[in-house]
Amino acid sequence: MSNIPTDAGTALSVGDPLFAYEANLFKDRGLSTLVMVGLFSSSDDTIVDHNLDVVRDIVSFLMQYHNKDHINGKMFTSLLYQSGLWLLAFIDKDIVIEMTFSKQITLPLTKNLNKAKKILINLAQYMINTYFDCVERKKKHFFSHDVQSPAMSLIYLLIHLNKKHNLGLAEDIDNLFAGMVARLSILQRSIDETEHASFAIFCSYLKRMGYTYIAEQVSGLTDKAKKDRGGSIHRLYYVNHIKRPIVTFDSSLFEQFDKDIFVTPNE
Amino acid sequence: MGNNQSIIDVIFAHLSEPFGKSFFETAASILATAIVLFFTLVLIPIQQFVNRYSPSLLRYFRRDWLTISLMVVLLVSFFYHLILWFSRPIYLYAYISALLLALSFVLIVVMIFRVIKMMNPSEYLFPKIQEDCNKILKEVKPEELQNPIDKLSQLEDQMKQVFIAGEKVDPNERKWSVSDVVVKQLIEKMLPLKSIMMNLITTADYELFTKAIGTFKEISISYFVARKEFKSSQDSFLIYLCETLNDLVKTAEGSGNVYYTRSLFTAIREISLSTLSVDVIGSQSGYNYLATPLARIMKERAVFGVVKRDMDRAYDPTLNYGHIGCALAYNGFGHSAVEIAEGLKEIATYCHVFKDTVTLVPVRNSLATIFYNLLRYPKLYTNYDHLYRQMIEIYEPCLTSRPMQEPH
Repeated sequence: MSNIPTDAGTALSVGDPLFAYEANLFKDRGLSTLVMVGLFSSSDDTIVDHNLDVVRDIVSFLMQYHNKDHINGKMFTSLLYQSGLWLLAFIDKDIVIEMTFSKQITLPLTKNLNKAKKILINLAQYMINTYFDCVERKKKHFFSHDVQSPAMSLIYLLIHLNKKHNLGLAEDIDNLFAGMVARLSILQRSIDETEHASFAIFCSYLKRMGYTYIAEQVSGLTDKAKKDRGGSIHRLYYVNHIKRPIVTFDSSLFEQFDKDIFVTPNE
Repeated sequence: MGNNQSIIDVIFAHLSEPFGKSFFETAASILATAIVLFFTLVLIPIQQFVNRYSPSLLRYFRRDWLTISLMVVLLVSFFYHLILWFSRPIYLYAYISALLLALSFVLIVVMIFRVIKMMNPSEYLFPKIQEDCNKILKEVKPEELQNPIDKLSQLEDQMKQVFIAGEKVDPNERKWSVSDVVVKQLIEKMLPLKSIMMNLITTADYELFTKAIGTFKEISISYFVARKEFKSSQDSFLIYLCETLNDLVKTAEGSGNVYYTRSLFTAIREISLSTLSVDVIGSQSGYNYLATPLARIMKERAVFGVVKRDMDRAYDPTLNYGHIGCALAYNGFGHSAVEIAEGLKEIATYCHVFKDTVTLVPVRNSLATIFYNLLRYPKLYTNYDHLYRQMIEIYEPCLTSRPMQEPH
């Protein structure tokens, strides 16, 4: 991190909207906020259709420059996750109000919905692959922990919201699992205790959701990939199971997600 | 009744009594001195303006109604006394004379205050120039195309329409372009302002300069308000504005005081923003052909400032240039906003080469806001996607050329 641009008085470091973000959503001009305005600025279906192309380009841009250096690695991980959350809000009419402060909901056309779903699934797929690339040391500019948390959070939310609000993503989620299992089965490097613990929680959730076969496969493969390095689990990664958004808005929605996803009915 | 009659008779008799001539001689000589004093006072601001600024400003003094009326009263008083030399004076004339004398002294005092006002161009001259220009602008009327040059200009504009689908303007549209006569008159009235500003930069009179550029800006904004419904994107007044402002900026850059250029850049920004409400050809298709030429002045000066490593003079134009881009994007002039973004990218490239991280701040903030506004306030054009692709293309080099902290 020695190359953070911190020229005194220039605000080219954390305040630079081209690679960073402002926590206040209304002041933020970062790339994830561009995704948000692209999705929610207009109720005109033609504009939304065009804007989805722009959103796709912005997400691709984030992915393309994600592994450029440490700064992008750190910042763009958050921006990618936040973009995923905006895309989730776009396809899920039941959470859109809480996610965007919008006073009214305009239901997008099915065509636009499918377009957004495709971008979201590609994003989730990218996050998973990036995590495994980190583990494999193919991408060296970020820590695997930092990518695992948003990647898993996105998958938790996809499974949870797909089941709760019937988003029609079952097939895409199956494909994500297939990709995850495939990457785990050819994993050359080991995962640490924290990552293993995260997978263990994930597997128990999958079992509760009825993905028993996948859960067993993932569990078996992660047990195999785990190498006891004599370390301990980083508790910091479990403060919030579902990673919080980077912009400031009512966090009660995410508290509810945590409760819905991780608290079993008999607890 | 009888008493009243007798008082009037007494007063009348008193007024008709003969009066000595010596009083009128003294009064006439006092008035002659007052007239000399008056002319001396009037000459002070006239001489100052002619010497310092431009002889063309004399016309404003020539038609100052207050000065003329004061002069008339003084001359009438003087000639009144002269006439009395050749007649048999009575008390009534003496009273009138005393009144005129007193009035003349009051007028001299009034004239002193007037001269004080005249000495300050921001209180006297600038409002008069603005008033004249506003009178000319009131005459801006939709007119039929008159001469072949106008026809040619219309033809060129129509060629532009070929590229702008969905925005056809009737060629016989009455409100096509502002008459050249009006523009010439306006430029003529504004020319002294340029001379004054040039002069003020060299004499380091910053306060007055601010007032002068303020007047210049107000007149320019009034022009664009007046031509709101005119369709032509070709505008001879705009060319004059660009040339004048460019000259002024270049002159101001030679001054040690950065506030001259700062005032000029702010004025350019405000004039540019005033063009956004003009319904000129292309405005429905994401183009603003009026704001971009003015904005280009700032881009050139920003690049010049970066290359010269003059951060103050690079930062201000970049900031204002970016503001114009953001406003264009906000108002639905997407293509012109992206043109500004391209300009910002060019500035960023120079900043990177010359390691100017200060000027990069407004560049990057403006780029992000332009992109944000384009998405937040969308307007559909025929090639809607193009500008967003351009924005991403602009982001790419900006991201890869991010300045890094030098290793310690």
